[in-house]
Amino acid sequence: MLFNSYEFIFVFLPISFFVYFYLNHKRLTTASKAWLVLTSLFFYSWWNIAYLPLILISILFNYTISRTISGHSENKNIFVSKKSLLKFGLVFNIGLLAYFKYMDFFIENTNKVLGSNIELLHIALPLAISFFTLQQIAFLVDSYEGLVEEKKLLDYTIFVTFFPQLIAGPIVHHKEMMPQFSSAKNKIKNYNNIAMGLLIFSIGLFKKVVIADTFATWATTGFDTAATLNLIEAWATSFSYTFQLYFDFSGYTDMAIGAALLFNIKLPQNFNSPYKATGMIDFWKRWHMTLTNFITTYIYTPIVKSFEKLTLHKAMLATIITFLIAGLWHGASWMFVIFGGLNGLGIAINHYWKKYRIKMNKILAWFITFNFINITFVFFRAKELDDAMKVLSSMFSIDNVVLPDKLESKLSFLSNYGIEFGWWAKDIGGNDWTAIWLIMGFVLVLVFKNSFQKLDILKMDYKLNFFSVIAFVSSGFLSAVALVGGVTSLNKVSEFLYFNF
Amino acid sequence: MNGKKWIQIFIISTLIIISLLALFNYKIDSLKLVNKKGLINKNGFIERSTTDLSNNKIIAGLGNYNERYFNRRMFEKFTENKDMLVLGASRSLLVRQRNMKTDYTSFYNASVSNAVFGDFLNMIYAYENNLNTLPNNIIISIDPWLFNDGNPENRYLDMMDSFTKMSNKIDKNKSMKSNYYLTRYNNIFKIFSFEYLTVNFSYLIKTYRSSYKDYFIVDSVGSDKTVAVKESDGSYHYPQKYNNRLSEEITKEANTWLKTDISQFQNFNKISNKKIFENLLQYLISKNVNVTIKLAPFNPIIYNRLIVKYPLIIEVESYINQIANPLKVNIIGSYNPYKYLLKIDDFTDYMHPKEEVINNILNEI
Repeated sequence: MLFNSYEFIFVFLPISFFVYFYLNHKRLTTASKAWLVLTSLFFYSWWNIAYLPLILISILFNYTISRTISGHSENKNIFVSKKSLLKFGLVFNIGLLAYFKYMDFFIENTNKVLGSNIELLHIALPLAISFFTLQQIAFLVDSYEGLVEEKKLLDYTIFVTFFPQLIAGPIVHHKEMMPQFSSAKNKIKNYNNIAMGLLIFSIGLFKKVVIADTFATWATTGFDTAATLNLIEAWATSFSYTFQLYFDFSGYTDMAIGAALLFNIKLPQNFNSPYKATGMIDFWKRWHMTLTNFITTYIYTPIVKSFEKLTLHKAMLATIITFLIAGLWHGASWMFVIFGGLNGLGIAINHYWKKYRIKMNKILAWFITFNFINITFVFFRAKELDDAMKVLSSMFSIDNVVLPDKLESKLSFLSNYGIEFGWWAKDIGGNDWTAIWLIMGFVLVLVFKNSFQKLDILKMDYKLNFFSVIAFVSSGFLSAVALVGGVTSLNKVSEFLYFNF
Repeated sequence: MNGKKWIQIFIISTLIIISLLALFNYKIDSLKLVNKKGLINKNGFIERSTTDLSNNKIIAGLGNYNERYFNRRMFEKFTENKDMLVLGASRSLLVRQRNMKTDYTSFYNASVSNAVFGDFLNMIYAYENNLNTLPNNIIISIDPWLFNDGNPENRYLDMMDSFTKMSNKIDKNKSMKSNYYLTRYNNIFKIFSFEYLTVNFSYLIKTYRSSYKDYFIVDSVGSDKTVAVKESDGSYHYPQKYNNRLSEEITKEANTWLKTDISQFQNFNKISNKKIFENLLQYLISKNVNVTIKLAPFNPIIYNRLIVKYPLIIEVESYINQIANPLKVNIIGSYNPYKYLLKIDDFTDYMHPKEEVINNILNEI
């Protein structure tokens, strides 16, 4: 089920909410948890019930392994070491991901290298497998290190399946989630949390349905016609995708955080105005923050620990390897590997830059960072290297410049230099509105506060002074505008980009 | 913090905004979805333009308007039966009276953009309902996507009631229930749409701009070559810029189009709507209408690729022949451009044949 659908907003979410708190009100806490599991599995199955057994098997397996690891020291009948159990668990999880997500990719590449003709399996990617597998890997590692323990299967199932974060994160840790589900205080309706939830959900819905989906039309058409783009179209295509990706994914995350807040559950922040970053290290501290935390803790740190003596060069090598893996996690394509590699390289350069304390103007630093990210997203979006290179070569080719025809009277001398005048955004199906939207996109990501910062308005005492009253009332009104804008634009239902990863 | 207070403001604001949105959309209702007396009627665009067209005027500069309602109103203004009626989609908009080899005494081209069988039924129903008879001759231009159930085009549902009645007329064995209320419900739903708000808003701005004219009358088809022109026989003229396009430009456009998800051919994996087509033919023949089926050729640049991606296009043509021949229904044209030795620049774009190509096909009647 999509967050941006009538059935979710008007049926599923209200029913889940009211029944959950009704059961808690009647002190049926186990039933209320069971209700959350049931609704979450329903939410998951709405898409394709065929994968329900897969997620259930994954949950049961990981729960059993974690219980065995946790009870290892007390139970003398277990003859397998804790480490072996962890390895077994990791192999299972990675194997599951490898089979469903990477098998065809592996076969394709084997065929290319060996010249063989092994048939592809055409396995459909089960929804959310990347996210629920990562979350459970983290849980197993934490169990092994004695940081977490979960005795109840029902609680463990809530941890994995809680519907707001099940499909595309934020990636949560057991230790930050389960105390919230156990807290007695959280079993009572909390109007402050409901207000915050509605505010952030409305912003997220607007970001996704109105902003991201608008940019999507130009990005999609632009990448579909990569071979024939002129210089301005190519830049408009790449910027459109960069904005689409941010507003889409952060919009999804906002909706997830908002929906969870209704149940008094606080999910971690996932985006902190990433396009304001002035360096690659800064960017990855602001972009998909829960993934960055995961790869730092569970990939980068073990690699670094494996080195006998750590040097900056070795740490940077570990960074690049980590990002290559993170890139591949996004999907079975060399394009994602290139995306990961470029970002790892960018971070490494940023670290060396810092080490040698080279000063750079902040605006220039932002300019370089944003454009670097924009270019890496071309690889992230392109299906083939050829497509990416076509877009990039158009972005940097001055042989093919078409300016809006309304400028012809003022700039006609430019035609002597091979510059044409005409419909400048024809191949991306754009018009003057495309330029306006792109400018608005920059203003939104650079000037405005992000959704998390907007929650501050609800944390202060609104009766403080006249301006705080105005701010308080207008936040309610603008959230309503965002909700109405989002809901009344739902006619064209579209999927979230991160559902594919 | 006072969450309850904020929630109250949020809910009240939501209700006010939704009400204002719906009220605005209802009041303007530029596409006449629910409010038949909306601004568009006050402004009387359809009323004025159909009157002018009925009085043999040539109208130009038409913007976005409901072609289906336009034709229905035209039919209401016909005082006598037409000798020839043309039904089709945008690929038959250039069929005109003076280009016909036969000298039809009266003629009207009722083609509408992206027409499907439902539109043909609505047109025939409206025509017969107003004149109590049918034209002596009808050309039906059939595009292959008319046989695709996955084609999302559903504007014919705006006239659900006439569609239901006509469906029942042509297929007496199967009584269709009118979904009038369902359509009305769908339209009411659109009143709450943000997208419709933007449509109405731009319509309103356009309408109240002092220089704005929703259309204007011209003396001859060539007097303003910058805008589309509609003749009194219902046929169109594209703006001049579409008539002399370079084949490179058309090729580029075709490549772009082919890379998109072509909505007309979505999920085109079987020939659907056979019954409706066969019943429609039978019905017209039973009413002594002389029916001609016209198949407009595709631009070779897209035909080559379409028949690979959607091989059913070839099957549709054979199927039409197979049904029409025993009924002695004349078929003119072909989807295959090579039968007429057509080149890329015989088309105004990747899809629409130029007038000369259409005339050449009409000569087969």
